[in-house]
Amino acid sequence: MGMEWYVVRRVAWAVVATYLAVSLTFGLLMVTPNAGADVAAAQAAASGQDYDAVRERYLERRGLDRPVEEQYIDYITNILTFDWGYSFSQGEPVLAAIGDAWVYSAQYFVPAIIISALLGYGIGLYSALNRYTPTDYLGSFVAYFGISIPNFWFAIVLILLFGVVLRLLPTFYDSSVALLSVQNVKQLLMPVVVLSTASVAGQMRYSRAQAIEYARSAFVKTARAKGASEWRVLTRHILRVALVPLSTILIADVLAVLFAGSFIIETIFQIPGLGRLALEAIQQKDTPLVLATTLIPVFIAIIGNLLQDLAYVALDPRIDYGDR
Amino acid sequence: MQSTHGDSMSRRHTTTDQAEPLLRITDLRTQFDTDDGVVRAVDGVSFEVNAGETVCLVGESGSGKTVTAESITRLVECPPGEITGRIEFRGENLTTASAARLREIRGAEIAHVFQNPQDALNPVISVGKQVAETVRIHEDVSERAARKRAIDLLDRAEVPDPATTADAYPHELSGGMKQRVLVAAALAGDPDLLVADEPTTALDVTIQAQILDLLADLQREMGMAVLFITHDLGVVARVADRVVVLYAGKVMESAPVDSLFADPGHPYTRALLACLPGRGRESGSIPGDLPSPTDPPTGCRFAPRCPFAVEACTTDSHPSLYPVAQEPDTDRDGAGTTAGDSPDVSTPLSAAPLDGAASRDLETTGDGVNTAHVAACIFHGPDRDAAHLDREVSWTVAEPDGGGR
Ligand code: SF4
Repeated sequence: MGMEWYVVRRVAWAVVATYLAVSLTFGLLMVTPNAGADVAAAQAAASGQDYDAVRERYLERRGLDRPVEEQYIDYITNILTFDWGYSFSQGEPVLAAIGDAWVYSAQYFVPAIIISALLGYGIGLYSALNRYTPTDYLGSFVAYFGISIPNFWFAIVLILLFGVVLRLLPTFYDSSVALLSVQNVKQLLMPVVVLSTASVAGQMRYSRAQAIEYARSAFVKTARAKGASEWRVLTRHILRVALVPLSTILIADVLAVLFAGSFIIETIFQIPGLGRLALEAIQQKDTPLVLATTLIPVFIAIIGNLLQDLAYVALDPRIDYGDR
Repeated sequence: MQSTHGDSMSRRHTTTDQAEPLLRITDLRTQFDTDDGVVRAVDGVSFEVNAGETVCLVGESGSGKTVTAESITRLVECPPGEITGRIEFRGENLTTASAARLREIRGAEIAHVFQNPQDALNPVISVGKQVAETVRIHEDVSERAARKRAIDLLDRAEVPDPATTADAYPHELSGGMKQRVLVAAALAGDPDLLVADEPTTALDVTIQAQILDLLADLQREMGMAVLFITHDLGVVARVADRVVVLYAGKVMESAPVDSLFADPGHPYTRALLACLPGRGRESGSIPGDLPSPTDPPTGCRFAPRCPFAVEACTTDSHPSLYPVAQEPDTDRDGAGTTAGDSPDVSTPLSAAPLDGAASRDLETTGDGVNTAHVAACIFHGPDRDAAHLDREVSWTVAEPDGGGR
């Protein structure tokens, strides 16, 4: 009984959080001078027209001169009906622009997340079970290497080495290459490596710390005393318990990588993905696109949080639903 | 596969018939490499456990009793830990056994119950599955069959409504109930030796008594031997056949339980007994601290806290195990108050009073190995007067004037 109620409350909270985020963004839009209007007016003024008149006409045409409540209802309706406006910088509807860019981002961040999760948790758990051995130290070294070197620097070094000196890989991303081709895999290789290196370290250190904590725990000793193999201890006992917090960091990681790491990587490798799209939107003062690239991460974060809470329900019988 | 029911039963009978003990530990040393130096947690411990009997390992925390218990099937973490010596289980040396062999033995032949039932169960797995796990590790059975066995075992461990409880998670059960679950999981492999490490310490008194009764019942039913680790002499009096007293990683005294309580041969044992409620001292601890684990004192490790200590205690090498004179079942010469009265026994012992020689001493005591009352105190050695051990020492006032440093 407690569990269903808990799930209902979490979902309700997700809806409320989404609504608050959307409204807050609306508030920010209202107090920000309209960049599009300013640009249009400035252009008009340059060609001899009246600045204010053009500006007003611009706002009027978009219904921005109406009372705030009306605009607000419109804005919410549009978001709910997925009518997110037209991006002038991309020359297409906002959602279409995001849909196009998303494919390019996904191509490198999905493999990078999978690789870094497998590698990070793999090395971390292995290190935890083989503490103080050379392999453990090597793992730690790799982790610190990954954490210490800046993404952009590592990317440039890779480009110089494999693209310029060895000429093995293309130095930048060419979006005309077919999705399922060797060439595409080759040009994605470096972005994937750079991105994985950055997050492998964090996941490795985290999973190592987690696993060490559980490897020392009494219930693991009980399992060993029953005659369980190391593998069984790891998969049935340590992982089963560690999965709960690990799922948290994984979701957080996905989000962080998706909307922060990708700015740098997409710029360096010239990948026309979401990061680049967001950057261009800001640079060109493309308000509808900025709005979308701001709201989508918020939505994903809220949904991610919800999924994570639901994952807890599935993974951890200890949750006291009354407290939450 | 390894030990089906009938198989181990028959083996148990043969071991009882033989003179060979079920478990013989000889000169066990377990040390840990730490940043502060090498900690010799167990430093030359020898004792035996016969089939079906209950041996208590007694000592304060830090005496090395848990490490001793966990060294048997190498449950101590080894890299930092290192185990040497011989641990013979039915004649097989476990210190050199492969990890795979030890896994076969753990759970199926030697089982463990640990101190804190709150932490000893995996919080996210149902208790029935955790009991069934022991079965599934050692036998090739279906999940359903294992579950049936688990419910059966929970029933034997007197868990009420076992079929429902099997689906409960640990946090839904009380501490005593969790310990019953852990006992069920330990017995699932039908072991010949159960190592119970302070199994009742974390429980409140009435539950403690219930768990002790349960263990005693199951031991009788299943005919297993129990190595019972505790600091509580009240528990010792209740469960033990024989007692091994540990202090700072060494055996101080080893005796049948009646003999130990009636006539403790080692000052440390006396101190422990004096701490029992209603035995003189009110406060529950011996004055002074345990010696440094990285740099123990030379000579007798108890010397800094011992009211009987003389100079020889700190200059000699650590005393070997000597027979305690008034042996109820030896009854050499009624009044026998000094070890000198039985030179035929103590003379060969004095030839090798070195650390680690304790094992040989045990063997030279001959057929008395399993029943003899021995203590590692200078006053039981040759040419020493043990009589003064009988003098009354009040432990509360003993320390200031008696502590010979
Ligand atoms: S050997 Fe000396 S110090 Fe040690 S217990 Fe005996 S009398 Fe005390």
